[in-house]
Amino acid sequence: MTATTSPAVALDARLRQLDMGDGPFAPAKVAELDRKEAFPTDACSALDDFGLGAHYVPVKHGGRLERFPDLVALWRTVARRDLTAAIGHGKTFLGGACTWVEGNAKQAAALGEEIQQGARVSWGLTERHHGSDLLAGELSATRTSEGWRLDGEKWLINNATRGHLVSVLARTEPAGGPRGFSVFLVDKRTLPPGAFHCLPKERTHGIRGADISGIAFTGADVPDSALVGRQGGGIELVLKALQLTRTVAVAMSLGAGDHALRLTVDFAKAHQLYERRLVDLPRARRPLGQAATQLLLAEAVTCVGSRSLHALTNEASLTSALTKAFVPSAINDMIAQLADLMGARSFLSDVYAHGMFQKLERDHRIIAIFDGSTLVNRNAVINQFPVLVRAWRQERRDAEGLATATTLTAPLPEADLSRLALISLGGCSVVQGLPAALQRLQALEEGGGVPKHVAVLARALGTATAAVHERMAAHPPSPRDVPPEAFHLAEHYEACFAGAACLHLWLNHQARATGPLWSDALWLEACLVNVLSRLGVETAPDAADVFDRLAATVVDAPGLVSLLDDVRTEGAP
Amino acid sequence: MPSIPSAEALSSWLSARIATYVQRKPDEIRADVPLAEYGLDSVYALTLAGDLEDHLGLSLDPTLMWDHPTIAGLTQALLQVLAGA
Repeated sequence: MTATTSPAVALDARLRQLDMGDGPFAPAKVAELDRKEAFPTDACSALDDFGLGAHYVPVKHGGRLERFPDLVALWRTVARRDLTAAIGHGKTFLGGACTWVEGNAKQAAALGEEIQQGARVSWGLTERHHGSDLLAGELSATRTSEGWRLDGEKWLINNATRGHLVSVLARTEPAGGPRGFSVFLVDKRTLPPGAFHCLPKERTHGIRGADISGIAFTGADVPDSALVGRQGGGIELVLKALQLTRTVAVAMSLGAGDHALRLTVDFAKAHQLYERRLVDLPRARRPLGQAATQLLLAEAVTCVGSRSLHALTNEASLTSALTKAFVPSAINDMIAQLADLMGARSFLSDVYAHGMFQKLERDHRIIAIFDGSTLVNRNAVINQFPVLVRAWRQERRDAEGLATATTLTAPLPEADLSRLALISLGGCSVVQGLPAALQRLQALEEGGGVPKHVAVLARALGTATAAVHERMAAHPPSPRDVPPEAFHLAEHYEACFAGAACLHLWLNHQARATGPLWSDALWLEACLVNVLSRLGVETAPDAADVFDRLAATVVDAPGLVSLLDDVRTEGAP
Repeated sequence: MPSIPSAEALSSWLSARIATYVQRKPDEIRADVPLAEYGLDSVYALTLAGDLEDHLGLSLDPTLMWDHPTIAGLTQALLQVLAGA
C-alpha cells in the first residue's frame, strides 16, 4: 500500500483542516471542552463525516476494516490531537468486537450497517464491585419463552449513556464458572422505558469529557437473536475479542507519544537558556533521545503486534497481552521524561500550547488501565509461562508467519478470527525466532553490514532472553496467588519480546531502508540499549551516547519520528 | 498415531499434574471434584492443554478443561478425542 492511498494519510489531511482556527480539533477548542468536562461532539461528528466508523467493520461484513495496522494508524492520527475524541469515537470498535469474532453472518452484517450509519456501540464488561474479575459478574440473563431477560448493572463503561447499542457480558448459569456467561448485543433503542437506565457520568482525572458511565437493566427483555456466539461461551468470546481490542488500543498511546514529543521539541527549539536554545544543551538532548527511543520501541511492538493478528493469529493471546502491557507503560515513562524537560510548561494549563501537554499526560493514564490493565495483561503472560518455556526449549516457531508479521511489505492475509485461541500452544514466535535472527545478524556482521557494537548488543539480548526463560522454568506454578516476582519476570519477558520485534523488523528492512534512523542501525542500537537496561544487563559505559545521536535526528526531523513510512509522510507538526 | 493410554493411567497422570499445579499430594485430588475447588484458576487450567499435548502427542482445544472440569470428565473426553484421532 502506498502512502497516498493509506486511510490514515487521508484522515490526517482532513484533520489538518480541523485542528486550526475554531475547528473542533483546534488546541484551544480541545482545552476548553476538557475544562468544561464536555464531550467532544463536534470532533466525533467530523470523524463520522470522514467515515471512520466503516474502518471498525471488517470487509467481510460490509465495512472497510481490512488490516488492523491501518486501524492503528487511523486512531494514532486522531489520538495525537485529542485522546478524548479518539477514545470516545473508537469505543464502537470495541463494542462490535464480539460480533466480529463469533456473531453469525446476519448479526454481523446488521451491526456493520448500523455502525456505518453512525450507530455508537458500547461494551459492558466490568461491574462496580468486581473490576477485572469477569467471572464474578452478577448481571444476569435468564431464559424466557421468547428470549432472555437481563437484570443488573455494568459500571465504568465508556459510552454507556451515549451508545445506541451495547454488548453485554451476562451470567447465564446461576453458578457462573467459565461456561456460565454469555454475550448479548442489546439495542437500547428497542427497550421500553423502565427496562434500563443509564448511570451518571463519573468525573475523571483524564479524558474529562468522555462518557464514562454505566447502565442498569431491570427486567429488560431481549430476543434470541441478541445472543452473540454460544450460550455459555461468553467468557471465551470476550477473552478472544479482547485480543483484538488490546492490540489496536495501544494506537492511543502512540498518538499521545507523537503529541508529547512534538510539543517538547517545539518548546525546546524556541526556549532560550544561557543564550543557547534549550534543544542544543546536552542536558536536553539525552532525555529527548531517550524519549524518542521509547516511542520507536512502542511503535515496533505495536506494528508487530497488530500484524500478528493476521499472520500469527493463534499466538494473539500472547502478542496482545505483551503489546498492551508494554506500550502504554513505555509511553507513560516517555511522557514523564519529557515532562521533566518541559519543566513548568508541562504543568501549566494556559501558558504553552493551550496546556495540551498536561492534558495528554492526564488523558494517557487511562490507556494502561482500560481494556485490561498492565497487571491483568502480565498475569495473562504468567499463565502461559509453562507453554513459553516448552516452546523455547523446543525451538518452535511459525517461521512463515513471523516473516509476514515483521516485514512491512509482505501482504497480510485476512485475519481469520476463528483461529483465535485462549492460549498459544506454540508459544511466541517473535521471541522464539530470536536465535535464528541472531544467526542472520552474524552473517551480516561478517560482511560488514552491521556495526560490531550493535551486533554485540543484540547478542547480549539473546543471552538475556535465554536467562529469562531459565527463570521462568524455575518459577513455581501459580494457579491462584501470583507472587510479585512473577510480574517482574513477565516485565522482563516483555522486554525480550520488544527487543526481538525490533531485531526482526531491522533485519527485514535494513537492506533497502534509508534515512538517518536506519543509518548505522541507529534506531536498532537505541532500542537495544533501552531493552537491555530494562533487563538489568550492563552495557558499555558510553552505550547511552546513542540517545544523543538519536536526539539529533529527532530535532532535525521534518515530521513525526517513526519507523513506518506511512506515518512519516503524514507531515504535520 | 498416538497410542491410547488406559483410563486409569490417564487419570493418575492428570492427578499428578494438577497436584503439582495446586501444590498438593496427588492422592488428595479426587476425580469427581471440580478442579476449581482445589484452587486451580479457570484461565490457568488452560495451560494443562500444553502438558497434555506433550504427553499424548496431539493438539487439543484448551477449553476442553472448561467443558469437562473434573478429572473423571476430562479423562473420558480425552479418551474420546484419542479414539477419534
